[in-house]
Amino acid sequence: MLCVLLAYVGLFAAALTVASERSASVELDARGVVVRRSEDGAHPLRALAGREPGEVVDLVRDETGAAYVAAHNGLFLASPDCEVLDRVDFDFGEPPGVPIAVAIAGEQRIWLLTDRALCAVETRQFLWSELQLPSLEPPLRSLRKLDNGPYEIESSAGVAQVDLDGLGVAHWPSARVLNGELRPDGVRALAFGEKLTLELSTVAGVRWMWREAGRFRWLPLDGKPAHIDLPRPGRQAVSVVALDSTLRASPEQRIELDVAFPPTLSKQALVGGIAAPLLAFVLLAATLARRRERTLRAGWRGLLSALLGCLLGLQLLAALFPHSKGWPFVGFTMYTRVSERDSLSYRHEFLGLTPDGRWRALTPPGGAFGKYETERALQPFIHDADGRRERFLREWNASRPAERLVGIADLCRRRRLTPDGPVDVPRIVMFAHPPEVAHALP
Amino acid sequence: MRFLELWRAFWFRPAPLSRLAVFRVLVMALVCVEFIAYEPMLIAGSELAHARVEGAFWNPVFAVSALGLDPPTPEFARSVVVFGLAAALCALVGLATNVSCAMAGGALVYCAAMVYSFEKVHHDKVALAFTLAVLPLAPIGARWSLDCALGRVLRAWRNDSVAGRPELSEFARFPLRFTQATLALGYGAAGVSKLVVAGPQWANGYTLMSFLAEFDQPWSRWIGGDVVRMTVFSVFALAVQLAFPALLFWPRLAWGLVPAVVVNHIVNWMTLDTGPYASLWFLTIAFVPFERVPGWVRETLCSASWLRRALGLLVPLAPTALMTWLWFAHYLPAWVAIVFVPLGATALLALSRTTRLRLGFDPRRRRSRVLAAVVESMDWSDRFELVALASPERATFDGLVRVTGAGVGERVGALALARELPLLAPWARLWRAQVA
Repeated sequence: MLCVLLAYVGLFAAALTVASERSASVELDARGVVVRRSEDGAHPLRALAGREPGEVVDLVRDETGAAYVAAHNGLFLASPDCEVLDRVDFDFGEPPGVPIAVAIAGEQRIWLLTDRALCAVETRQFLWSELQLPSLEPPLRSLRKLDNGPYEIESSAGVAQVDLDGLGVAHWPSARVLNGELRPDGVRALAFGEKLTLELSTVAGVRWMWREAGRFRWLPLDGKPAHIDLPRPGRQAVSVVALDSTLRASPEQRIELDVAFPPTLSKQALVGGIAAPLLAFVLLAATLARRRERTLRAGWRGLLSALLGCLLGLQLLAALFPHSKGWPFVGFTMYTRVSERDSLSYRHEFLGLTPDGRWRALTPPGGAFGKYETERALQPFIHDADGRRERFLREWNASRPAERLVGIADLCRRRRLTPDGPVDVPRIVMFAHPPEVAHALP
Repeated sequence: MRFLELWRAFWFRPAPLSRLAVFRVLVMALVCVEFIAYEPMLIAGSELAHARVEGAFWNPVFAVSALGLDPPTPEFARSVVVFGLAAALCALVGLATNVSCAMAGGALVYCAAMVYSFEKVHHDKVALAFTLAVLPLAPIGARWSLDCALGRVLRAWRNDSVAGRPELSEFARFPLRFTQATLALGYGAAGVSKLVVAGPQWANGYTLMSFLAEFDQPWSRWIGGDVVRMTVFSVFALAVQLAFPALLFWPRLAWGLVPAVVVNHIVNWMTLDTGPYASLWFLTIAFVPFERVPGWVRETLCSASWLRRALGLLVPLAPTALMTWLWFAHYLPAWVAIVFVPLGATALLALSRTTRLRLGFDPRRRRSRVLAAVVESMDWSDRFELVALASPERATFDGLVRVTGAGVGERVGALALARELPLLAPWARLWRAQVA
C-alpha cells in the first residue's frame, strides 16, 4: 500500500515537474487575438485560407494544453506546439447557431454555447449533442461556471443556473444481441450476409453508437431492432456504446463474432472452383493435343496451358471482384480514396513518459508492422478496453525496470491539405494515462 | 485455331535457357532475402497469437481459413523459415533445383499468408507467389546450376557426349511470361480501380497529398509540398499503371515502363511507409532478356556517342547498385558480399572479351571429357567453345588444349582456366596437379 502511495506521489511529482516545462501556451490577448505565447514572445496564430475565425469571443484550455476557441465562424482548435488556429469539422453535421462561449466539461468533452443551443462536444471525433433545457430560450447569451459547480447560462428567458455535470443518465440502458448462435467460447456465430441484430433499450436523451474493433470512429446505431451490416466474413468483433446527451459514454459492450464465409468461399467451392476449370482446361488441352500431335511434350504443354489459364483467369476474377483476404488472389483497390482541399490526414504517436520528464516513442503490442497496424493496435488503448493502459504500464515496468515509464499518451498528429502542401494543424490527444501526465505533454 | 497458335506462341515460343536460369537465380536470391526480412514479423505475430495477449491479431486470409490452419507456434515458424531459406539457397545454386524451388516457394507462401493473417494484407508478394507457383514446372536447372554441372560431369564420366547442349527450350518462356502477365494485371488493375472507384478526380493532387501527409518519410515534405507537383505525380502514376499491360504486346515499352514503375515504388517508399516493396518491382526482371545484356552493354560502351556510353554504364549498374544497397543496408550481413566477388568478376570478364576461346578435348579420355564438362557447365559468361578432337590419327591427351585458327595449340593449365572462369578459382590448385 505504501509502495503504491509512494509511486503515485512520485508520479504526481514527475507530472508537475514536467508540466512546468511546457514551453508554450495558447492565449486570447487583450485585442481578442489568439496568440501562442512562448519564450520568443506572443505570436498570433494564423488561420488557413477560407477557414478564418472572424471575431473571437471565448477561449478555454484543457489539461493537455489544447485550446478551444469560440469564434463567429465556428469552433476552432489550437495547441501549444502548432502555429495554426484550425476550424473544427464536426462529425455528423454542425451544431446550430453562432458560437458564443466554450467551457471544459472533462472526460474529453467541452460545452459549446451558441446563440441557439447549448451543446456537448466530444473532442476526439468531434461528435456533438444538443442539450434540451426548458429553462433556456434562444437567443442564448453567455455561459459561466460558478465556483460551487453549476453553470450560469443567460438566455432571452433570463439567467438560469444549471448543473450540467448532473444531466447525464443515472442508469445506462442495455443492448441485447438477438440473433446468432452463442458458442461456449463466447463467440456468436452468424450466417454469411446476416446482419447483427440488437435490441437496444431506450432512455430519454441516450443514443447508441457502434464501431468495428480496430477502428476508432463511432457510427450511429438506430432502429428497433437495430442492425449492423458486418463488413466481412470471418472472426471479428464490434463494440456498442450508449451516449447520453452530455456525451458521456456507457462501458463498451464488445461482441465477438464469427461470420460464416459465403458459399463461394467455402472449402468445397474453393476446391471445386479451382479444380473444375483446371479439369476443363486439361481436357481441352488433351483433346487439342490429340488432334495435332501425340507427344509427351504436347501433353505437358496442355497441362501447363490449363494451369496458366486457370491461374490467370482466377487473378482476373479477383481483380474484378476484389477481396484482400483472398490473397494471393487479391484486387487492387488500394489508395482509391479521394481527398479534397482542406481534408485531414492523421498520424498517431504512441509515447511513454520517463521519470525524468522526457517523452519517448513507443510501439504498441502488435503494431510493429506499419502505420495502419499501429493505429489498429492503439484502439484498445484509446478506448481503454479492460484497463489496457494501466496493464501496459504495469507490464512494461515489470519487464523493463531500467526503462521505467510513469505515463503513456497517444498524440494524433493532423495535417490539413492546402494548395501549398499539407499544413500541420493542432494535434488531438487521444488519451493520456494516468490523466495527470496530460499536463506534461509537449 | 488462330487463338491456339497465338496462345502457344505467347507461352511456348522457344526461349534461351540461360535467360530462365538467370531469372531463377535472381528470384531465389529475392526469396532468401524475403525469408530474412519476414522472419521478425512472423515470429512476433506467432508469439503474440500464442501469448493470447491483447494486441494479438488473427484474421486469417481465406486460404489459411479454408485449410483450417492455426497460427504457427514461434518454434514452428522459425523451422519453416530455416527450411525455406535452405531450400531457396539450394534452388539458387541449382541443387535439386525444381524440388528445392517448389519447397522454398511453398514455405514463403505459407509465411506470407501467416503474416497477412496477423496484420493487414499487402500486395507486395502477389506476383512473387504466382511466379513461385509456376517456376518449378520449367527447366530452371538446365543452366547455371549444380544439377547441370553434376549431370554433365556424370555423363562425361560415363562416356556420353559432352558437346551439343540445347540453347533454347519451348518450356523456358512460360514462367517469365506468367510473371509478366501477373505484373501487367496487377498494375493495370490498380490503375483501372483508381479510375472506376475514385474517378478521374483521383488525380486532383490532394488525394496523393493526403497519403503522403500521413507520413514523415525523407521525401514526403518536398514531394507532397505543392498541389501542382502532386497532380503531376498523380497523372504520372496513373498513366504508368494503365499503360503497363501494353508491355505484354510491345516489349520495347519496357525501356520506359520498367524504370517508371521502379521510380514509382521508390518514391512511394521514400514518402509513405510501404517499405521498399522490392519483392514486387524486382520481378520486372522478367522483362529483361539477360542473354543479350553482355552484348548490348559491350556494344553500347564501344559506341561513339557519350550518351550511349553513359546509358551502357547506367542501365546495368544503377539497378545492381540499388538492389545491393537495399539488401545489404536492410537485411543481409556484410559477409554475403563474398558471393558477389566471383559474380562480379564473371560479369566483367563476360563484358571484356568479344571472341570466345576455343578449347579442344579428347572424347576418348575420361579426364579430358570430365574437364570439358566442368568447364562447359561453369561457363556462365559463355566464354568457351568446346571442340571434340577425336581424329584417330591424333595422339590422345589428358586435359584441354587451346584451338586456334592455326590448329591445335598448347595445353591449357588450371590457373589459366580459373582466370577466365573466376568461379573455378578455388579449385584451380587442386586441379593443377591433375591436369599437369
